[in-house]
Formats: sequence, structure tokens, C-alpha cells
Amino acid sequence: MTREFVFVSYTVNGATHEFHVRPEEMLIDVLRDRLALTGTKLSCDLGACGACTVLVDGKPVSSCGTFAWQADGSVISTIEGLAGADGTLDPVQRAFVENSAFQCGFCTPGMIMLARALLDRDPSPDRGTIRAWMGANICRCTGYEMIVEAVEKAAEAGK
Amino acid sequence: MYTHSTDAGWISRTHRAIAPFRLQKPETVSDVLDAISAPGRVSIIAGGIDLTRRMRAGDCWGTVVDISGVSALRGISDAGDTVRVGALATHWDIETDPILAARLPALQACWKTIGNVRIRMTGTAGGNIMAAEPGYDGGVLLAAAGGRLVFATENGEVFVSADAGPADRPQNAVLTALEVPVGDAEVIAFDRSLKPVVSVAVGLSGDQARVAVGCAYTHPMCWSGPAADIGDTIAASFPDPTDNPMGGGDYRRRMIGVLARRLAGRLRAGEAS
Repeated sequence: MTREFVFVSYTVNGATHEFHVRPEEMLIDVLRDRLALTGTKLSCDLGACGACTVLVDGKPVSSCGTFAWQADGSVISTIEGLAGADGTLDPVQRAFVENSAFQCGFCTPGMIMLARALLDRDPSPDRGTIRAWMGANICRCTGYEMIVEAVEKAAEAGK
Repeated sequence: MYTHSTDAGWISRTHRAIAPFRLQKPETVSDVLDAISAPGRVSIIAGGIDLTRRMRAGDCWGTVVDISGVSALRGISDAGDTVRVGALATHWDIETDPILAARLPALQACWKTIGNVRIRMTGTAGGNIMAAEPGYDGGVLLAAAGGRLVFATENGEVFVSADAGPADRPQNAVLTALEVPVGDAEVIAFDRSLKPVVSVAVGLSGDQARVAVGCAYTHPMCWSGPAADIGDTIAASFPDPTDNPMGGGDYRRRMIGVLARRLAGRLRAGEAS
């Protein structure tokens, strides 16, 4: 088969990027390889665990299960874009640190992006809503209690 | 997984390579029909949740037709005695749609249990059904609600019952919508706690009922009849379930009866989903 390329344009963390990608190229590889945004983690590679979660037009998506061209024209947010230019942490990041809501930390970027998407939609979610929403991602070491509490604290901080 | 060196240092790339394919992006249903008639293996992609997983497992396609730009496949509309759900409606669209909230609240409530939020915001109703995975829930819920599938073909629209198997669907066709009657299932309850062995949805309207079964067959199976007939014996009216190491056929059949009876009991007690 002849190698065909697809032209894509994204706004990633506020900056515009344009590429020619192969049809089979995944969004996570564009982010990690081409943009060196390695905060987005590759884990299950099946779209199941959520470690690779980024926000595409505000929606949490698995970047390992998304072809690069599917995000063409989108505004993409990764963990690197959450903190302010002066290094001020996003309230979700700060709450995760203050609640020790991580152990090995590999799932943390995906968890934080997922929580950010929730609070952007619902600034005051109840505990049940948080548990259901955050249930999309998997943590294999720290347990979920501190993660849920961190999201609750982030919501309170945002009020 | 393999690693290689970039400006970011040594990093991992996706573990399993996806075979190269040709990408087509039609914007009309007519163009989709042309595209899927291309020689070689052709697959449609909408949200991509299922297809990317299959391609990572080694499924190869010569051409992938991206239908996400076909606006005619979007939207949820009230057609009076039915509600028409565009094939590109995401699960999130369905669970948040005001028309469904007003006209088919029971179906909407059950649909909220599909997948997680990442899947629900990306995955489409049409993709869930056309993936033809025995364990997927969309077809089971649609069957319990008495719904049908609407396909576009070269010869016009074709309507197929939600519990029809892939062999009964038209060839060289594209699913355009799900059509759900209003009033056929005033209340629906769904039990997916035994997935992937068996899932059961029950829809009740007056003294009539519909029982749809997932996981236990290659496609959803449905029974309809008097609600009073729902009991453990209803399982005998279904064909032989799949018998494999995941779950024996006898066990699946017994659970169909148990779950249907429990769900019908819940609905009669007013515990609608």
C-alpha cells in the first residue's frame, strides 16, 4: 500500500501545531513523540486504564485509543498545560499533592485530567458523582479513597 | 512495547502496531455507501472505541471509512410515536438528551450504565450495535425497548429489528439511526451484573413485556409476551445459549430466568430504572 498522510492541526496547551500523520498513527504518539509531552502516560494500550487521558475539546479521551487524525481541529489539553506559566498548580494538581493521592504516580496525569474534565462540567459534584466519574480510570497501588477526597478538596477550593 | 530516543529522551510508543490502511472521510451517506463498496476489506469508524481495540489485536483493514463528518447521522429527534437516535449519537448524547428525558426516560436511565465516562463521551450508539460484540449493551437495551435499526442502502432505507443477527442485516449498508417506539416499554430494568456471562433487560408496558438477553448469544435475543408469563420458565423459550469456559450453557439459561424474574418483580414494584 502506498503510504498516505493526513494533515492535522491541533491547539495543544494553547499552542497551534500542524503535522502530517499516517492514518494508523495514534494521538498519544503524536503527543509524546512529536511534542515531547511525555506527561501523558502509556499503559494498557487498550483505552481501558485511562493513564493516557487527555482532554479533547474538554472531553476526557484515551489518547492511546484515538487516531491522531480523529482529533484534527481540536483543542487538546495535557497535564503539562494545567499549571500556570509561573508554575502555579491547578487546584486539582494541588489537591492531589496535599492529599497524597498517588503512590507510584503513573496513573496520576490521567486521573488529574479526568478530574479536571469533571470539575469543568460540574464544579460541585457530590461524592457519588465523583466516584462514578473517576471510576473510568484505574490506579493499581494507592487505592481510590484519597483520589476521591482530592477531587472533593479541589472542588471545595474552586468554590 | 518498544522504546526509542527522541528530544524527550527514551520514551515508549504504543505497544502494538496497527497495520497501515487507507483513510476515507466522506461527508454524505451516499458517499459512505460508495466508500464501503471499495475493493478489499473496508471498515467504518465512528467513535473508534471498538475498532482501534480490534486493530491493535491484529485486525487489518485495507480501507477505513470515517463517518464522523456525516452530519445527517447526528442528532436525536422526536417523530411523534418514535424517537430517532442518529447512529453517531454518543452514549453521552443519549444520557443527556432532553427529548429522550421527556419521551423515553426509562431507556435513557438504563443507557447511562454503559461503559465509563471516557467511552460514553466518544463511543457512539451505532458503533456499539454494529460492533456486534455479544457483551455490548446497546442492542440489548434497544431490543427491550422494541426498537429497530435503520440502514441506508443503494435502494433506500431498510428497517431491521434490534434483535436481528448480523446475517439478517442488509449488506453494503450503513446504519443511520436507531428508532425507538414511545410507549412500547414504559419502564425498563437492566441487569448487567453477570457480564460477560449474561445480561438481561426487561421492558414493560401495561400487561405486555419484552425480555432481551445479551452476552449469551452472538447477538441480542428477545422474547415478548404477557408480563405475567415472566418467570424462571421463560428461559426455556430461548435458544441454546453459548456454552464456553466463560459460562456453561445451562448456567446461562438458568440465569436468564432468574434475572428476568427479578427485573420484572422490580418493575412491578415500581422500581423503574
